[in-house]
Amino acid sequence: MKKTNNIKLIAFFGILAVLASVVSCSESILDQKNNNAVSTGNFGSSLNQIESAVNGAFHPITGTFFWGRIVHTGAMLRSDEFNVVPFDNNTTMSTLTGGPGNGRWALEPWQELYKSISRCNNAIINTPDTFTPDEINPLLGQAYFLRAFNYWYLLNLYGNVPAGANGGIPLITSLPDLDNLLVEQTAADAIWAQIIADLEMAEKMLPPSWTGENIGRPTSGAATALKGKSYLYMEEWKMAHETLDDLVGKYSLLPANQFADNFGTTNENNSESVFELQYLGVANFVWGTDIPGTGTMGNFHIDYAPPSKSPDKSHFINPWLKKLYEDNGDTARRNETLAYNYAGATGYGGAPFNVDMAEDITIANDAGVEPIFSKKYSGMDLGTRGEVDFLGTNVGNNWRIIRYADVLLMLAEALNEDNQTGMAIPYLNEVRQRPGSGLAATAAISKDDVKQAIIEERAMELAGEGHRFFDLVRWGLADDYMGATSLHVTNGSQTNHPKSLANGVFESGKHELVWIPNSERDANPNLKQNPGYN
Amino acid sequence: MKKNVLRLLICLVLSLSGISAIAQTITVSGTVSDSQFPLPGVNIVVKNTAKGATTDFDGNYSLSDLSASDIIIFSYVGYKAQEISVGNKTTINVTLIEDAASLDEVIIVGYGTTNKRDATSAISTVKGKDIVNTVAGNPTNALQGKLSGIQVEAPGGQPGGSPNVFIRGVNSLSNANPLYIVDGLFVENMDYVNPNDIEDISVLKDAAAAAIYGSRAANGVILIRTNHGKKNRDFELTFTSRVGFDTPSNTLDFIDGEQYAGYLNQRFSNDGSTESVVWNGVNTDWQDESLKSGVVEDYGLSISGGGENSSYFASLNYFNQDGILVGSGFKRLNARFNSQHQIKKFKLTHSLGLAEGKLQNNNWYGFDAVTAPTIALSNSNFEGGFDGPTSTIHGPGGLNQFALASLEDNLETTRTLFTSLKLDYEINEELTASVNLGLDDRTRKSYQFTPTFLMTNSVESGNSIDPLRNYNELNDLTNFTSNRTNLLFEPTISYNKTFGDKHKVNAVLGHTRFIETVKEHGLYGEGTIDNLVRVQNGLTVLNQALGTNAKAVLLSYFGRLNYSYDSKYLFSATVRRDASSRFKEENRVGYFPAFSGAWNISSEEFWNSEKINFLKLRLSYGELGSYSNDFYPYQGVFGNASGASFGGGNVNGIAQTTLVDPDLAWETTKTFDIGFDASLFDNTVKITADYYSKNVEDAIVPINGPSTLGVSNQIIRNAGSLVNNGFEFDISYNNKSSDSDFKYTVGTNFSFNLKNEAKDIPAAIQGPGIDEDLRVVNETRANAPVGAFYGWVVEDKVDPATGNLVRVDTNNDNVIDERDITQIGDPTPDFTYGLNFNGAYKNLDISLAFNGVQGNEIYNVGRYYNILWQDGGKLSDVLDAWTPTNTDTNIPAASLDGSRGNSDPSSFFVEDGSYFRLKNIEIGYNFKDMNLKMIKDLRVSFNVQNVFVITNYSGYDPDVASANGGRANINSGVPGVRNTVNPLLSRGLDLRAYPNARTFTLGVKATF
Repeated sequence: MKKTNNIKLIAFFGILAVLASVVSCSESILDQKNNNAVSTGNFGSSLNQIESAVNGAFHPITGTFFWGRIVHTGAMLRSDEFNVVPFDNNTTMSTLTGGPGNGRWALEPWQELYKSISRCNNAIINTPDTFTPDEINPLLGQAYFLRAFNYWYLLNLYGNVPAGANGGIPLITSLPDLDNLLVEQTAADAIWAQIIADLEMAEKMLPPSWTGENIGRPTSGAATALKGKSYLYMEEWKMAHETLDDLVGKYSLLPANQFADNFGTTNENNSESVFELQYLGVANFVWGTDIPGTGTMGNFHIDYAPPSKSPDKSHFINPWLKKLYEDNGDTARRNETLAYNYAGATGYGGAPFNVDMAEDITIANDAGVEPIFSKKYSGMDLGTRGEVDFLGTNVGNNWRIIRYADVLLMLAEALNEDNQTGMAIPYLNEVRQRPGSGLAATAAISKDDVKQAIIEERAMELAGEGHRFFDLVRWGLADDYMGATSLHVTNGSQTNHPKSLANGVFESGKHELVWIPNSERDANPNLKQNPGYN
Repeated sequence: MKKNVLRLLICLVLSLSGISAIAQTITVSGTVSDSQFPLPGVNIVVKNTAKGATTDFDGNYSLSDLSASDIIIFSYVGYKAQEISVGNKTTINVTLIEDAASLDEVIIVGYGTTNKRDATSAISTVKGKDIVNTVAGNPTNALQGKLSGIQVEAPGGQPGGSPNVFIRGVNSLSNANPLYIVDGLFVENMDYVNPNDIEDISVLKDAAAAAIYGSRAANGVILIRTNHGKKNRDFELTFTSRVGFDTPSNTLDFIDGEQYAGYLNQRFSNDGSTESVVWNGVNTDWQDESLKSGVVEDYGLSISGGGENSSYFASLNYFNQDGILVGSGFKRLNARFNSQHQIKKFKLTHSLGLAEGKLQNNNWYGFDAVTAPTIALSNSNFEGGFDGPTSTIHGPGGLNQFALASLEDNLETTRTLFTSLKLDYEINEELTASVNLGLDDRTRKSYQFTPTFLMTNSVESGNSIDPLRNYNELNDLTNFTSNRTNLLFEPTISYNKTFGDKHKVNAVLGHTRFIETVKEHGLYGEGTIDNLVRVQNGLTVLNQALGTNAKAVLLSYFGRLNYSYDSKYLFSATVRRDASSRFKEENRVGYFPAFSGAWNISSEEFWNSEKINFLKLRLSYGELGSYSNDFYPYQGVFGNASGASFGGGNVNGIAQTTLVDPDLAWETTKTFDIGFDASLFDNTVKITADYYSKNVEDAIVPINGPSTLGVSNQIIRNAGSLVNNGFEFDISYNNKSSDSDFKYTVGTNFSFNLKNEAKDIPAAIQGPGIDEDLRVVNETRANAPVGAFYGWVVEDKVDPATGNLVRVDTNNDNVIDERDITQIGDPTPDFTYGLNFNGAYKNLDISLAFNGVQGNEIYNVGRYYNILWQDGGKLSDVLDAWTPTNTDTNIPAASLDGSRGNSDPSSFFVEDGSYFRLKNIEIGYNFKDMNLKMIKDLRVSFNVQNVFVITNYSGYDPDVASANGGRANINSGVPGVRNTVNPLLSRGLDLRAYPNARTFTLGVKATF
C-alpha cells in the first residue's frame, strides 16, 4: 500500500512538473496586442496614415459641435445683425444673457477646437523624418494652417486677454502630458505669435491650389489671408496690408449676378473663395463627433432659417441692415442677403415672400419687430419650403471662411489705418463695384470717412457670414451698437434695441468674450474665468 | 457538488482514523438517513474510544468489535448528533434530524467548503429556496434585503433589467460589480441563471474570504452553486409553475388637455409673447395608455436522481413577463444538466447551463417630458398611424413617446452557454488533485428596427416641430452581435489532515488561466424598400459598420493554508500572484496576501454561559487587486471614425480619441474586518456582526481631463483613492426545534455604509448629461461621496416678484454666484435593511420579506422634465406654478427663458429616497398527507410582490438604480447599441424610471 502511494506521488509530482513547465512557458500569452486600430506606437509608417491623421484634425471643426451647428447657435448669432427670439438655454449666449452655467454653447466649441489642435500637434510632432519635403509638406502644411485657424477662433471667442489679466486660453503645442494636466492660460500676444508662426510654416509648405479629390484643402493663399487677417486684428497695419497685398490678383470677385455663389451650394470653391469649410450632405443627422459619417454634419441652416422653419425660434434681422442696403441702393447683395417685403422678394424656392413667409411675418408682427429674415445659409436657395428638409438632416453647403471680397476689404482697412487712404479706396470700390453691382464708387475721401465706408461695406458684403461680431469688438463698437443705448436706435435706423426680444445688453469688458465653461474649470482649477463672468 | 466533495473528504479522513481496531464480539451495521434519503459520509464514532466509521454512499455502515456498553455517536454537518447505546442490537438504523440552528452547516468558499464554526471571515449565505419566492426575470433581484452588506438597486420595474449590486458600498470608481462565480466558473453576472436551479449562494464580503480569487474580487464575490443530483436516489420529477400578472403600483398626477393648453398660454404670457394656442379638444391620458397589466408566468420541470456511481440533475424553465409598460417585456428560457460520476479514484463533476433571454426595451418612456395630453391617441392620416405635436397646439416641440415605443421594434436576445467540468483525483487520503475547465459563452444580439413614420406635417405646412423624432424618412435597422467568451483552466491540489486529533490543517495550491474574448460585429443602416423588409441585406444606406475584437488573459497562482487548533483557534493565510494582460509587462504582476484568524471563545473550558451557546471573534486583513474592464487600457490607438470631406467626397480620418496611461498598474483594496458570530438561547438566536474598513489605493479612475488635452473621453489612470467603512449585522431567531406546531424564523439585517468617499482624486469625475443641454448633476469630487449631486441650494418658495427659484448664498459671501454651487444630495444610503419572516403551521406556510433603504437622495429628473422642460406634458404641480397672481408658491413660473436659471441643477429636484417596502408575501399549503401515489409532494402558493412601499418620494418608485438610456447615452453609439453609462457615476438619477409593478401570482410545485 505504501509503495503504490509512492508511485502515485511520483506520478503526481511528475504531472505537476509538466504542468508547471507548460504554465511557465506560456506567460507570453499575456502580451495581447490591440488590433482594433492603428496604434500610437507606430504612427507615421505611411503617408496615407498621416493624411488620415490630418483629415482627422478637420473632423471636429466641420462637425456639429463646432462649425456644423453649435458655434452659430451660440457665438455667431451674438452680433447686432440678429434679434434672436429667446428659446430656453439655446439662446442665452446669442442674446448676451448667458453665463458659465449655460450648457453646451461655450463648452463644445472649446472642446472641438482643442481636439483639432491636439490632432494637429500629433501630426506635426510625431511625423517621422522619413518622407521627402514634396511628400510631406502638403500634409503638414495643412496641420500648421489648421492649428492657426483653431487658435484664431479660440482667441477671438474666449482668449483675447492681455498678459496679467484673468481668463483666456491655454496655448498647447506639445503632446498631452498626463502628469501636467492642469495647464495655465496664455496671454493673447503669445497666442498671436503662435498663429503667425504656424501660418508662415503653412504658407511655405502648402501648394497654391489643389485639384480633384483634394479640392477644398487649405492653400498657401488661405494661410496668407488668415495671416493678414491676424495682423489686422493685432492692429499691425503695415504687416497686414503687406501680407494681404500678396493675394491681389490671385483671386477674382464673382459678378454681382453670381453673388449668391458666395454662400450657396452651387459653384463652391470658386474663384472668389480663399478658404471654405467643406460640407457634404448626409441624409441622417447625428449629434456627436468621432462617429463615422459625422465629420461634416452641417445643419447650421437651422440657425439662419426663418422662425417658422426652425426648431429653435430663430431670429429676425435688425432693420439697420435693411436701411443700410436701401440707403446705398444696393439691391444685388440685399436680395441675396435678406428677405423682406422689397419688390420681387422671395422666400423658399423662389416663392413670393408674402405668400411663402406669411407665418413668419405674423410671428414678427406679434413680436413687435419688422419682418426681416436671413437669406444667407437659410436654405431658401435649396428648394420650396416643402422640399427643404434640413431640420433632421443636413445640407452639404460649404461655409466660406475667407473670400476675396473680405481680403480686399481687410487690405483697404489696413492701408487706411496705415494712413494710405488713397491706396485703400480702390480696393474698397473693387468690392463695392463688383461687375454688375450698379453701385457708385464710394464718396468717402478722408481717413475717417473711408473707415466708416469700410465698416458699412463689410456689413453689407459679409452680413450673416460670421464676421460682424468680431469686427465690432475689434473696432471697439460693440458697446456702441449693442450696449444699453444702441446707436442703431439713437441714429434712427431702428426703433428697438438689436437684442430687444431677450432684453440682452452688451456689457463692455465682459461680452467681448465667451465665458470659460464651468466643467472645464472643474476639470482644471488653474483656469480663471474670463472678465465679467464671475 | 462541493457538498459531496466534502463528504468524500470527511469519509477519507475518518476511515483513516478508524482503521486501528481491536477484536471484540459485537458487530453492528445499519443505515443512516435523514427524513427522506440515506446519508453518505456520516461520521460515526464510538464514545470514548478511537473507533469509528463513515457511511458509504448508500448510507450503510458497519462497526465491529463493539461491546454492549458502547455508545455510538452519529454526527453529520447540518444535523443534530444522536447517541445510541449498542446493547444487544446488531442493526441500528438511524434517522438524523436536520438542525436548522447548526453552526456546522456547509458553506461554500473559494476552492472548498467550510462551516460557520470554522469560518474565519465574513461570509453570508442564502439558500436557493429562500430566493425562489421572488418573481423576477433577474434572480439578482431576490438578494435585495436578504443579507447584510449587499445592496441591490433595481432599475425600476424593467423586466429582466440588470440591477446595481454593491457589496459593502462602492469600492471602485471604474467597476464596482462583484465577482460572480457559478459552479467554480467566473461569469459576468447572474442575470440569466434560473433561480430554481440555485442550491445556495455564498457572499464573500471581506478580503480574507475573497482573497483566493484575487483580482476582480475586491468588490466581493457571489458564489453560486447549482443543484446536483444525489447518489442512490430514486428518480424524481418536479414541476413548478407560477402564473399571475403585474399591475402598475403607482400613478402620477398629470394635467389634462385643456389644462395643458392653459399652461402653454400661461407660459407664452410669462415670456411676454403674444402667441397663444387653442385647446384642440383632445385629452389623452398617456400614462393610462402606456401602463397596463401584464402576464407573468414561470414554468419549470426538473428531474434528478442517482445511482451508486453517478447522479444527475436536469431542468427546463420558461419565464415570461410582459411588463406593464408598452413596448417592453422579457422572456427567459433555461436548460440545465448537471451530473457527477465516480470512477475509481476519479470524480467527474459536470455542470451545463443554457439560457436565452429576450429583452424588449421601451427606450422612450423616460425620454424628456411625457407626451402632451393634447396629442391624439392615433391619427390615421399620418404614416405609422400616430399623432404628433404641432406648434399651434403643443407649443415649441416634443415627441410622442408612446408612438415611438410602439413603432420601434427592438429585441435584445442573449444566449449563454455555460459549462464546467471538474475532475478530482484522490492521490491518497490527504491529497486530492483537481482540474477545472470552464467555458462561459455569451452572445448578445441587438436588433432594432424603426419603420418610416410621420407624426407631424412639418414639411408641408412649415410647422416648426423638430422632425428629428417626429419624422422618419428612411427606416432604420441596427443589427449587432456581441460574443463574449470566458475560458477557465484551473488545476488545484488540496491537502487535508488532522494531526493528533487537534491540529487540523487544510491547504490548497492552484493555478488559474482565465482568457476573456470579445468579438463584436454589426451595422446600422437605413432605407429598406418597405417597412416589411427588416433584414440588413435590404438596406440601401449603410451608416455605420461596427466591430471589435479583443482578448485579455489573467494568469494566477494561489495558495491558502488553514490551520485550526482544537476548533478553538483558527487561522488562515492566502496569497495570490496575478498577472494580467491589461497592464504592460513591468506592471503586470501583483501579489495579494490576506490573513484571518478566529477564536471560538465558547469552546474554551472556562466558557460556561448557558445563554450564549456559541461565540466566535473574527479578525481579518487582506489586499486585493483590481483592473479596469477595458481590454487594452494602456495601449493607445487611433480610431478611424473621424472622417472629413474634400473634393466632394468623404475621406478617411483617424484620431486618438482616448488618451491612455502606459504606466497603468493594479488598483489595490486593503480591507480590515472585525466581527463576531454568536448563538444564544439554545441556538435559537444567531447574531453576526462586522465592522469593515476599506482603503482603495491607486484607484483606477476614469479622469475627465481638461478638454485642452484634445480628447473628451475619460482617461483611465491610477489616480486617487477611496475610503469605505461600515458596520453590518444579521440577527435571526428561529423556533424550529421547539415542539410547537407553529414553527418560524425571523431575521433582520442592517448594513450601515458609514463613509464612502473619494479621497484625493485629481479632478472631479462627471456623471452623464441629464438633458439635451447636457446639464450634469452627479459628480465625484475629492473628499466627497461618490457620485453626489451638485447644484444650487434654493429656497422653498419662488421669488414672488419673478417666479424664479431663489438661490441661497451657501458660502455667505453676500454674492450669489457659481461659488454657491454645492453638494445638494448623496445617492448613497446611510443604511439598508431587510426583515424576513418564514413561518409554518402544520401544512400552511407563510413568508414575508421586507426591505428598506434609508438616508439616500434621488435627483428626480422626471420631475424636472415634467415641470420645467420646454416640451411635453406636465405634472399637476404646474397648476400651482407662479403667475403674476399666484406668487406664494414653490413651483417656478412656466417659461422658456433660460436666463431664469430654473432648469439648472438645484435642490428643487432633490428628494429623500428612503423607503420601506413589503417586497414579498407568500402563503403556501403543502398537501403532505394526500394519498396520491403519483405525487410525492404538492404545494400551492399565492404570492404578492411589492405589496406596499412607504416613502416620501414623489416619482413612481424610489428604487432607482442608475441612469442609463433616455438622454444619458443618446449621443453615443447607434440606435439600439448605446454605450452603457457607468452606474457608479449616475446613481440616484431618476431619469428613466420604468414604473415598478405590483405582482400577483399563484404557484404550484409538485414532486413526482
